[in-house]
Amino acid sequence: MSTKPNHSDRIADLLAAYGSDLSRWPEDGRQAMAALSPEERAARLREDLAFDQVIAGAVQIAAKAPVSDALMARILSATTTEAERPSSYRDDSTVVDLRPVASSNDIDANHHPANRKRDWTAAAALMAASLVLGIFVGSTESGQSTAISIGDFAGFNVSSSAVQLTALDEALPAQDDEDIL
Amino acid sequence: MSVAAKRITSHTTSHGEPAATNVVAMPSRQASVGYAAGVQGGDEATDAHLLTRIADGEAPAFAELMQRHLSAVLATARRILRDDAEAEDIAQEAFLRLWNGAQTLEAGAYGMRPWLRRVASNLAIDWLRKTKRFDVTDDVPEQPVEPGQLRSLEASETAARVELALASLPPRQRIAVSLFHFDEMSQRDVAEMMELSEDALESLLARGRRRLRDLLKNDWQELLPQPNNPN
Repeated sequence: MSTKPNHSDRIADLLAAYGSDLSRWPEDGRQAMAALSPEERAARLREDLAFDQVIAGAVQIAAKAPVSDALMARILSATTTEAERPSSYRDDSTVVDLRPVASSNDIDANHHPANRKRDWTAAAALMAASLVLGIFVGSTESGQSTAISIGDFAGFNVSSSAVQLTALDEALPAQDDEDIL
Repeated sequence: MSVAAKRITSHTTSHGEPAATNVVAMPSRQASVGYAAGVQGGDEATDAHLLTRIADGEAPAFAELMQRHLSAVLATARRILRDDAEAEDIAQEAFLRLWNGAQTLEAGAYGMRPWLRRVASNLAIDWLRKTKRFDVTDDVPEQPVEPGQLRSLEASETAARVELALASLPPRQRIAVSLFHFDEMSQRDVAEMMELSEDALESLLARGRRRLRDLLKNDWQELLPQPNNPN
């Protein structure tokens, strides 16, 4: 790696892997790049700078995509449901992942959100009906669209009778007992 | 849980160490996107402020934080899983962890988005492993992308072309490129999440990025400065 052609190969490999932001390169690569003249360095980075700009644009657009009201309502509902679970299910080890990395035991088929979501569908609708009245953040228009979305995703009318809601509500704790994270 | 519980920063590594590389790697791009410290507008609360309110159980603050970051977290999960319903479930789980752990979390320099993305990425990769969709080898062929499939989109849809091209990569290349180049996670963090050596990750990244560059050639070449015209 001490000869110039090898330096060049290494730079090409690093550019291919890490892109044009040299601060993200390994130290040896930064040193190899620093050995180049400014003109040579600019020439080597030229295409990858353009490519990284394209990626950055895509990331920016994805991050600003409209938020799904139904999904937001679903998540809000789930938080309320979780808060109502018995406190024994809300201890540090099961609920809070202090490290921002999930262990392989953090999620399994029984407790995967895909399955939990099904358990909570009725709860989500119940909670959403109340949430849209006072909790949901946003304009009046977004509040209205949320209410419509909730009805759609829950599969029944938000204005279901109080009797029905109470009946469902009473049935929920049994489900929650099995829903340990 | 006690409020006095140990607090960590949102840019802590999986080992619990301060992630200097994360801070360095966080990008000019993130600042330009406008969520440095989680502030999207001059009058809006920072993520740190919202987090404090969430720790006190304020659902409106949680909703505001979701409004701010849900799309980005969803995009991260979607790139890894290539399944909208699963991506929504993973995003939900990531936000629930924030809600439940708010008292122990602390917003970093770039707000809560890096933490949320990292949690979502881990959950998504874990889910791929459990459903046997996280290939051990990289021998899985690329999904063919017909040139016409990319060209058929309007020029203004560059972002859609990028996502389509990324989705065509073999899974491990796609995930590596997505985490490193799209979510700007550090090399070490990505290698750890994918259970790879850093050298192996470098190789994956190089292959994935080269392929992506090739697929998107028309887009990035348009951005190159034009050669000086002698006339």
